[in-house]
Order: sequence, then structure tokens, then C-alpha cells
Amino acid sequence: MNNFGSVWRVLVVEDDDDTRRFLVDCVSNHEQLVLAHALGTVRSARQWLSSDPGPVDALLCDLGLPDGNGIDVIAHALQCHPSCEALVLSVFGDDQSVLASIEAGALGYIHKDSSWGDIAQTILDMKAGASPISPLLARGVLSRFRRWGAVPAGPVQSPNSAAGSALASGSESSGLSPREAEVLDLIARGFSYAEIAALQTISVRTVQTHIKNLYRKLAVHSRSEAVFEATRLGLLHGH
Amino acid sequence: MVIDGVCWRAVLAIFCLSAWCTPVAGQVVQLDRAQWIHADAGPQPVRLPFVWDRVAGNRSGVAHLQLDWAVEALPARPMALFLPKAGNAVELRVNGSLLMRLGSLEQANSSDFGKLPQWVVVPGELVRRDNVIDIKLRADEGRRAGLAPIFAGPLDEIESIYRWRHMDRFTLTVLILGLTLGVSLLAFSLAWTQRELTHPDDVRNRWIFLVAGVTEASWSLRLSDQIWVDPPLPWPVWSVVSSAAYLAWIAGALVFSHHACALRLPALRQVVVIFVTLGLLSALLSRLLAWPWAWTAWMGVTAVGLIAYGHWFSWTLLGRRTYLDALVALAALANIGAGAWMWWVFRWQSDPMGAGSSQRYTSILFTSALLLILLQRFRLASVRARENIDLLDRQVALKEQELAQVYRSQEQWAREQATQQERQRIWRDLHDGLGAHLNTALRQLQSDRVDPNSLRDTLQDGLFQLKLSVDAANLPLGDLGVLLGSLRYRLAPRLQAAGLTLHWEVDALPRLPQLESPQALRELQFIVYEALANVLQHSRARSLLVRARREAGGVVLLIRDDGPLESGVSSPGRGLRSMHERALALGIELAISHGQSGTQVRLFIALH
Repeated sequence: MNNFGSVWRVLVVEDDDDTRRFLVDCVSNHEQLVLAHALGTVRSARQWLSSDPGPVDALLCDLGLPDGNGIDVIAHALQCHPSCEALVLSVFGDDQSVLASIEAGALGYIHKDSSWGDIAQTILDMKAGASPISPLLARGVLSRFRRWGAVPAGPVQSPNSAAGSALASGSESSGLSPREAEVLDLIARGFSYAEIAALQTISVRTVQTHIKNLYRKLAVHSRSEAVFEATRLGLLHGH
Repeated sequence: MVIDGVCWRAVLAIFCLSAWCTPVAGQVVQLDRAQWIHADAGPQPVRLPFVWDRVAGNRSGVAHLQLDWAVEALPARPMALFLPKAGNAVELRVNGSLLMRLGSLEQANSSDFGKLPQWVVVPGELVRRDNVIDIKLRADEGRRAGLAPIFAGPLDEIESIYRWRHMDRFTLTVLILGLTLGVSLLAFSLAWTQRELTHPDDVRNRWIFLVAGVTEASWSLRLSDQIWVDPPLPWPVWSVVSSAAYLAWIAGALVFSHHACALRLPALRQVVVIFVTLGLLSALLSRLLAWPWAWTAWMGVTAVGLIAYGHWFSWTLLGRRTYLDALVALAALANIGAGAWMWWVFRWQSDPMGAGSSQRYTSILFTSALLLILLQRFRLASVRARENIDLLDRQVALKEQELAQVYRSQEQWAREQATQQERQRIWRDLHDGLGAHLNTALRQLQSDRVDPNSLRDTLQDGLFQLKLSVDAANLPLGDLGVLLGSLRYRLAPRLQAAGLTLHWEVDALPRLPQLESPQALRELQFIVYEALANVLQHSRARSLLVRARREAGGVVLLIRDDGPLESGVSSPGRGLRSMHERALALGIELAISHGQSGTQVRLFIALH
């Protein structure tokens, strides 16, 4: 239903009234975006998402909500609306909180001090297949995959781990491909999309697609890891 | 331990063994009448046992004795003669035929065959109804030479008698000798195991073990004299050695019993020294100066003294009613009794029947008591050692726990210190960065003319500084690449606004030990930010190169712009001074050069 050029229905979850109004304006003032709803708590967001409100294409969600963590809202939104894509609202875009959101299924983040145009564009880019990333976030994602032993052997050299290639393993479906690992490493070292595209002889769009795929793989891996850990600890039965 | 009935019965059974039991049965006859053939005085009838020392005085010589042996019926089988004691050397003829020669009749003070019983087979064809047995003895002075009554009879019966007596005199003595030597070696070994211990109880034990070893070794030497036909030294000298061993055994037993049973006898050491000294003197007088009464007298005095003392000693020990004390008391009484009896038999009778000393039996009691005491003391010492080891283990475990607690405290302290330092860094960052900018914004608002753009710039700059601070806290330790990448990410809008052509050449870099703390990362981030901010604020550069490469011994970071000299920073301002100070604190080489072609900031970060 949501083809290129279509209008995307956006849910905003932010507890600060001014920021929420600003975000609502960003969405409302863009011709390709429609505000589905604007809420300020985890409880109200979960209730609204469960109440069959129609399609939700994008979610802008703050993490520090008064009655809980925005990550719960993201997870619930993806459960109720599988086509929904979530962006985290962050002041700093620091890797720890954003990484946790991505593991929960978010596909990127938006700085709270961004301009309204940037915010709308980020939503549209995400829906078009591009996800925002920062060097710190790239290093965090790479470290997470490396910890799982899902980094392929190849030319990727990491100053953090001389044993990176020794740990390399993982399937194509859930592990990093050599290209993805190279892209992540270059982003971590500060290279721009265009520079990476030139170095890797690929298009900027491909670089952006790689990033979005990486986020999805990270979420899949995290869920598998959680199931594995829960099974190991005897919290789940039948797996 | 209280003595029970079984122990008493066992002790009595030992006493029932008698060395004097010689079975005589059947057609065996005892010949105890002889003619002593003098070369000058002619035959002289004597009654056996014939004791040389008693009839010849203090001299050596050869005695010729002739015995008549009447046989009622001529035997169909061979006959035999059993000589319980004949020596020192002996030559035996029956009806003129030489049947046995043991030792040399001529060489005085050589082998002594009188110590062991002998037997000789008499062929049947040699036997007549009236037979004459000629025996020549070599008799050494003071060596208990002589001839005991002879037994004559059928071969089988005489052999049986001989075997019985040989078992008593030789085999049993060898067994006792083996036991004594074994206990002696054990005592010395136990003393050796205690040689490095310094506890008073261990030192006392070592002394007792040594005394026991010497005592039993002395008794072994003394026992060996009873069966040693060819001692390693000539007779008088060997006699002194044997006497000295006997003295040592008595003295050692005395000292050991007192120490082991914790008896306190005044001047025990002096008594022992006097006893041994006078004993040695009497032995020398007796053997080497041919004054035999000296040794006999001294042994007599010793016997009387020990009998008197033995009563007190045994009475005291038996009063304690413990197993070991009773055994020691019994051993003392038995040995003193046997010693006194032997003194009578040997000194006054010269062991005429060749029975040997019965003290070899009673010594078993003492050896057993000594062995038990050794083992008990060693067991107690081992138990104490084990307890000490256990105590040591517990103390070590306690110390380890204390040490672990100290380590935990130190680690906790170190963590708290690190946390405290990190908090201070964050507070300083907030104070110098965001705080300063907020303060500036406040002042701008309070001024008469508020410039919204200026106020926005101030607030944005404050937020920017806060982001840098947060980035520094999240940077992976030692990772220069991500530090540079995150700075570019944060400065991207400003770099883009400046219209600079950016050449970004950041290689994959090794982990840098000098950037292993958030503080160091924050300091370096500040230096690099200052360098980039200078380019953005002060130069009119069109292009900017940021290059980080590994070179010999470290990593070189180069920030170079093409801004003209007059537009760059030509004099060291506050920012540049701060850069140098921070680089110096980090141990990083910083070189800034200006020229017509632009400004270059070069940082060298060593790998080690």
C-alpha cells in the first residue's frame, strides 16, 4: 500500500510538550507525512497501538518516558504493526541507548536538536531504505557482532581487536558480510557515505541500504541471543 | 594403659623359656669323670665341668683330659659325642683316632670355639666296649676355657640334643641380635627425621632416640660376642671392647628409662659418667693387666647397686599403672636379676656348662619396651606435626582471606577513585563547556540588546560541547579512529558550511596504550577539536587534510590546511597553549607549523 511517493502515517511518542508539538509540526507540515497520533507515555502508546488504529508506517519515540522506557513502545509497535519502522529521539545520539533501541528493532535515531526539515527527511529516507548512523554507533554495532563471533574474515582491521578475524564466523543470514563489515569499519573511522561508496565502488544508496540491513541483523541476532540465553537459563521451554 | 591379665600371662610365658633345658633320653650317657694328664705330675682325676681359670690360675696353657667311655653292647649304628662346651680350642681323639680339631692348640688368644656347642660322629667300627676319649684344650687366660660334661650315645639322639642346644645358643641369639640391631637403626632413623625441628619436645625426642640407638647398638655388639668365634680384635682387646659395650648398654638403658619415663634422679649424669669410667678402668685392669678381680668386683658392685636401685625404680613405675611404665619396670627387674645371676655364674663359675648369658632373653623385654616408647613418641611427634601443619594451613587460609579482603578493598577503592575522577572530569566539562555557555547566554539575555542569532549560537555551541563530552565518555578506549570519526560527525554541519574540501585519510589503526582512559581520550579530543576549530574559525583555507597513519613506533596524526599565514594563528594564544599543555600531560608529541602554504598540526602518539 505504501509505494514510493505515498503518504506515511507517523506516530509520535514524546513526553515533553514543547518537543512533542515541534515533532507534530514537523510531521504535519510535510506533504508526505501524516500524523497518526501523538502520545506522551508508554501505557497510552501501547493501548493506542493495540486498539487497531489503522496502519502505522513510522514511529518517532523518545526513550525516557515518565512511566517506562520507549524501547517497550518500539517493541510493541513492531509486534502490532510489522511494517512500522521506528526512529529513536535522542539528544546526543550516543551509542549505548541507541544501540539498545536498534536491538529492539529501531532503524535509526533523530537528534532532538535537528531542524524540522531534517527530521522529516530522516523519516522519508528511512522509509526509502536509508538509516542514520554515527561512527560511535558503527563501532558499537561492529563490537556487538564481533562479540557474537559473527564478523567475517577479511580485510577489516580493527584497532580494538587483533583477534577479530579469528572470531570470524556466522551465516550469511545473520552474520555480517565482508562488505557490511568494511562499511561499518569505515563509518567508525569517520568516512562519509560518498567516500565509502567511492572506496567500495558502490553507490551511496547501497551504503545506506547496508546500514539498514545491519540494523535488522542486529535486532535478529539480539532476539536469537535473548532466546538462547533464556533457554540456557531455563526460562523458556519448548525451544 | 592398665595392664590386663593377658599381658601378665605373656610376660610369664617369656620367662618360662629356659636355656638350661637339654633333653637327655634313651641310651645317651653323660661322661663327667676324667683324668687330667699333667706332663710333669702325671694323671689327676677331675670331675667335669673342668674350669681352666679355677685350676690353673692366671695363665694360658694346654690341658689334656682323658675320659673313659664304656659301651655295653657294640653298636650297629654310628655313635656320636656332644660337647656343650669345649675350648677355647679343642682336639678330640677316640681310641687314638683324631675325630675333631677346632682351632689352634698352639696360638693363644685366637679363635674361641668354646662359645658354641659342638658334636662329633664316632664311626661304628671305631667303637669298642671300653673306649678312651682324649681331649686337648687350648685355654686362654681369663677366657672361660674348659670342658663341660660330655654326652655320648647313638648318632640320632646326640644330633637331636645338639640341634636343640645350637638353636638356643646360636639361632636364637642371632634373632635377638637382629631385633636389637633393627631397633637401633630405627632409633637412629627417627633421630635423623627430627634433626631440623627446634621445638623443645622435638629436641628432647631426638635426644631420647639417640640414646636408644646407642643403647641398642651397644647391646648388639655385646650379643655378638656370645657367638663370634673369630672376633675382629685379639682376645684381651676385644674383651675390653665387649665390656665397654656392656657398660654402655647399662648406662644407656638407665638414661633412656629415666628420660622416657620422666623420672628425676639427682645427678644421674654424674652417676652414669662415674659408672662408665670406673667400669672401663676395671675392664682394662682385668684384661690388659691380668687382674681379673677388678672387673668381677666392679660388676658385683654394679649388681648390688642396680638391685637396690631397681626396686625403687620399678616400684615407682608400677605405681603409675600404665602399660609402658609397667613394661619398663618389668624389663628393668628382669635384666637386673639376670645380670646379677650371670655375674654369679660367669664371674664365679666361668660359665662351666657353656649356657651363655640368659640376659639375651631378658633384653628382649627391654628392647620391646624401648621400641614401643620410640613408636609412641614418634606417633605423638607426628600428631603434633600434623596439628602444626593444620594450624599453619588454617593460619595461611586466614591470611589469604585477609589478603583477599585487602585486595577487594583496594579494588573497591580504585574503582571509587576512578569513578570519582570520572565524575570530576564530567563536572569540569560541564562547568567549562555547557556551564560557561549557559552563563554567556544568560548574560546575553540580561543585556539591553538581545541578539537572537548570537544567543542561538551560544546555546548551540554549549550543546555541541556537551555532545563532545558525552562522545568522549563513550569512545572505545585506545581507539583514535573512532575519536576522529565522531569529531568529524559532530563537526559535519560546520565543515559543510565552511565550504572546505575535506581530505579524510584515517587508516585502520592499532590500539594506543596512551589513550586507555576516558580522560586521555577527552584531552586528545580537545586538542584535535582545537586544531579543527582553528581552521574553521581563523583561516581562510579551502581544503583541509586529516590523516592518521601508523609510522615507526607509533601513529602520526596530521591536520593541515591551506589557509594563508596571516589568516592562521600566528602567535601562541590561549587555545594553542592549552593544546601544548594537554599534549605534554598525555605524553604526546605536538608540533604546529605555519607557513605560506598553510598550517600544519602534527601529533605523534607512541605505541609503547
